[in-house]
Amino acid sequence: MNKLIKLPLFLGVVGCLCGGVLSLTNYFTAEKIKKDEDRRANAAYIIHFSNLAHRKDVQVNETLVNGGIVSKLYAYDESNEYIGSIYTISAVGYAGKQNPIKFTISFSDGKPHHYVELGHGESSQGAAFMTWLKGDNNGDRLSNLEAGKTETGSSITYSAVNLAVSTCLADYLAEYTSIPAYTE
Amino acid sequence: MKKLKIFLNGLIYENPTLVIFLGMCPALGTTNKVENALYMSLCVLAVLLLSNIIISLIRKIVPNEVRIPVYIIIIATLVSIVDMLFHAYLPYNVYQSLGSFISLIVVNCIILGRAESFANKNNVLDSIIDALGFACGFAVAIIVVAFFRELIGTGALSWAGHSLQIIPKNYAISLFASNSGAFIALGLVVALYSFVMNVVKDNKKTKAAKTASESK
Repeated sequence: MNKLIKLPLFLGVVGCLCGGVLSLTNYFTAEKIKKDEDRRANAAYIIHFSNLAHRKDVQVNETLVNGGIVSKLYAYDESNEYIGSIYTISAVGYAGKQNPIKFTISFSDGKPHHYVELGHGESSQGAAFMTWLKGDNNGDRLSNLEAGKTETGSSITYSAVNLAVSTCLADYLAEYTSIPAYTE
Repeated sequence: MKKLKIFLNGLIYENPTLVIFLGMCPALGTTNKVENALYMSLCVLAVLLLSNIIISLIRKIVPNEVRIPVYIIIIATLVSIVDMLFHAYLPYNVYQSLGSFISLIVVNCIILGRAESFANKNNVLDSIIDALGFACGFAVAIIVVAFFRELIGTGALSWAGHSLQIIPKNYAISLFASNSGAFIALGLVVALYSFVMNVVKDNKKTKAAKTASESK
């Protein structure tokens, strides 16, 4: 009887002590681990907003999915103020679903902000349109996508990219004034 | 003298990787780069040293019936602590490449083996020396294997993102960088080690025989 109590009790005490030591270690390391993870996750988006400190992933609705948008997020600065939205796009163009055109696009202050190509499978028309879009420094080309037709003509690729960017723009313009500040 | 014998036992005569073949999983899995092997060695050193110290300290109060579960709880705790510290303070790419091998130290036979066969029966100082000997033995073995694998497999040695090309890439044998290459490289290092040890033993025997005949 004595052993029946003594042995589990001993194991329990050892378990509790070990649990306590683990909690203490977790207390000291958890914050640094989380900070590093956030920094790594944000690194891909800092190219859009150099002052990005927090981000909030948002569920994409059906309209966005139909437009080729894969993900959407709100970007916030250090003081938790909203600075813009970033959309990740995978548009199906001339090369088909196996080789979609992938890029991220951001909007800020009510207008297109930046564009980053993640890779595209198009060799001629897609590449030409991407180069044209990437050469945009002031957001002029993004806000007048129709002008891109001069680069590619009314191709399947151009239509897919144009639809995706237009869908993002419409979605952003509809909500950007009402997006609240960042909360944990 | 006894302390030196304990240390050399782990380092040379009972080397965990090259002689008694314990801890083979990390020895094969983390030897693709010298950097990874070194960090894995540090991890094993930390866990082995602390587990030997703790187990040696509590050996008289642990009931014999729950000895093994207690050791496993202690080792698992130490591995989790090292894992958290590595996650927080090690370069992320190194932590990622060590991957699950850190967690697998819990079931590493070197740790439980030394706890059960040495720390359980000896004082703290001897247990520390034993842990250092075995950890150094493990470290030397896997770093040598990693050195050959990385050098022959890629032709270069890399550290913290910087790479030094020593052999032209065209002459590198990529098999050694792959998983199967780990077995071959380890086998070759074990063969070389056995050869050297046999030569040393033979020399000792010859010297002893010579001395005996001279004294006659």
